[in-house]
Amino acid sequence: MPEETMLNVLEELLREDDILAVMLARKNEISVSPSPDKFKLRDPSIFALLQSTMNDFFAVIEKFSSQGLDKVYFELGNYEVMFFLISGDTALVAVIPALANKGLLEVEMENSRRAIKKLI
Amino acid sequence: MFEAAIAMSRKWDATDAGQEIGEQIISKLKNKPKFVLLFSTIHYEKHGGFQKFLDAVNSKLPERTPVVGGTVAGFMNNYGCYTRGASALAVYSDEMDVAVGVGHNTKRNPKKAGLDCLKSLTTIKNSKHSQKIVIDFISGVTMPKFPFMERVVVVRNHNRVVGELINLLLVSSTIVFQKGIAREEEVLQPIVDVLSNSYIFGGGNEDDNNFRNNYQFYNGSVFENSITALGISFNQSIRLKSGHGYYPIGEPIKNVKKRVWNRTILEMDGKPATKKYMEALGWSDDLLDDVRQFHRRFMFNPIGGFDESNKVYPAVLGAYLGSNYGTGCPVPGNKLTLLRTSGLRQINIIDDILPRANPKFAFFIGCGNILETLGSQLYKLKEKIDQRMTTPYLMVFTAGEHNRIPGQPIRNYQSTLNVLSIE
Repeated sequence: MPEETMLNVLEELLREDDILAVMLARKNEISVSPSPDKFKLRDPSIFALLQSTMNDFFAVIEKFSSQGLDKVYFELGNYEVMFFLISGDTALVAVIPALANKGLLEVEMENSRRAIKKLI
Repeated sequence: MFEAAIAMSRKWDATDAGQEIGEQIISKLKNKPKFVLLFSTIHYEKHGGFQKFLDAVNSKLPERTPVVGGTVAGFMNNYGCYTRGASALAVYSDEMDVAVGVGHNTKRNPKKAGLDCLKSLTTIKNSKHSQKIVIDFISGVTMPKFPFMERVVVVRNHNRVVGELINLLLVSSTIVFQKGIAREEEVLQPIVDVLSNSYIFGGGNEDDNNFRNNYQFYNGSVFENSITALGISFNQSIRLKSGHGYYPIGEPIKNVKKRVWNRTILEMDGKPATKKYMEALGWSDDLLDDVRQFHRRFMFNPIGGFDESNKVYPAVLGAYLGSNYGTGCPVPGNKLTLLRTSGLRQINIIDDILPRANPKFAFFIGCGNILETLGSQLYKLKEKIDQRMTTPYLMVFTAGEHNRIPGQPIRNYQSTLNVLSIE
């Protein structure tokens, strides 16, 4: 994968006010993400936890991918995590504030997912 | 000769984005544009400012090109769906007369704003061309300023006295601070009265659905709390269609008391309106505790009112203000009903309003609620448009939509999708 260009897509997405952290997660591979010092999370441990558990997520995600699993959301205290699946073993993951206007952010998440799909 | 072109920029910097928009318009049209409808998301407020954005657009356009528009929650065009960036629709016709108007202080003195805007627009009345339309953008609803409170969405108190006090504060905030109700129908009425043979098509400018601030574009100037409008006269056929995805459920609701320019409902069936609403839904007030779920929950189940032709229109709950059911646009009629919709129904609105194959161009105005509801599923709506159209189109998402067909009253809605196509 052309990592630098992927990184550009992620960094563009991270410039959105309500995208607090973002990564391209891949099963059994190192995730691509902008430098954590660019993240806007008050509690950076959440992102570290997400990174360290991604393979566990993919074990579940893979089971549902044949059924058309496309997105996964979950609320995590003051944050919300959005998973936009790119394939069974790749996902665009973003952390947003719990009170964000999710619909508007989803549109830009979708644009980033489409950009990444073109690069893969 | 008739040409239309869509320009778009995704650049973050206001000047870069403005230049890109201007350059695209010039390169895509063979002739100088007769007018430009220009929109951007609120982002440029923090990335250079809207004056720089507009200066940059105008630096690339021929002098005195009429430009109107403003900030919107997002947009869709032939290239994709976006909630950040800028887009424009530029049009040339060798048989077209164009006028631009502006009026200020729309929330404090809407009638004067409408009359001021009308002054320049009246030139299209005497145009030799048969079809006339006013395309306008009015500063949309903003969150009111209440003492000691940042953002009021839920006040859990069904006491009517508290409700009336909130109504008083809402009216005061609108008139004194120009934070509150947009009063679009009052702004537009002087224009309707004089340009009675004109279509009207417009929307309320907004930000990223947070309703803090919004801006209007008028040629080279940026305004707040204003109306900016384009009067066009030409000979092509105009098609204007409007639709929404809601349907009535339950028993009719009567004995309605409305306040604040018909934007709050104080009573329904003789009960505090919010109490009656929750009873009709069969929902507990405890659902109000989680404010972050507020709009997502209630967007699909609003109260609706019937207009004079017995068509029902949604009035989505924007704020639960004591006994008041607060909404962004006027609640039509005195017979109300509970409505329901789904994401799929919101997508399928397009089937009812979509132009016949390939008009010269289509300009859509949709409610920011639809954008918020559909999120990335908006691309499904776009697929439906792309199956039918290959000509230029632009859809913008606003805080309230209004339109008028000659001979009919002005209609000021929310949660609708509207299209103006030139065929």
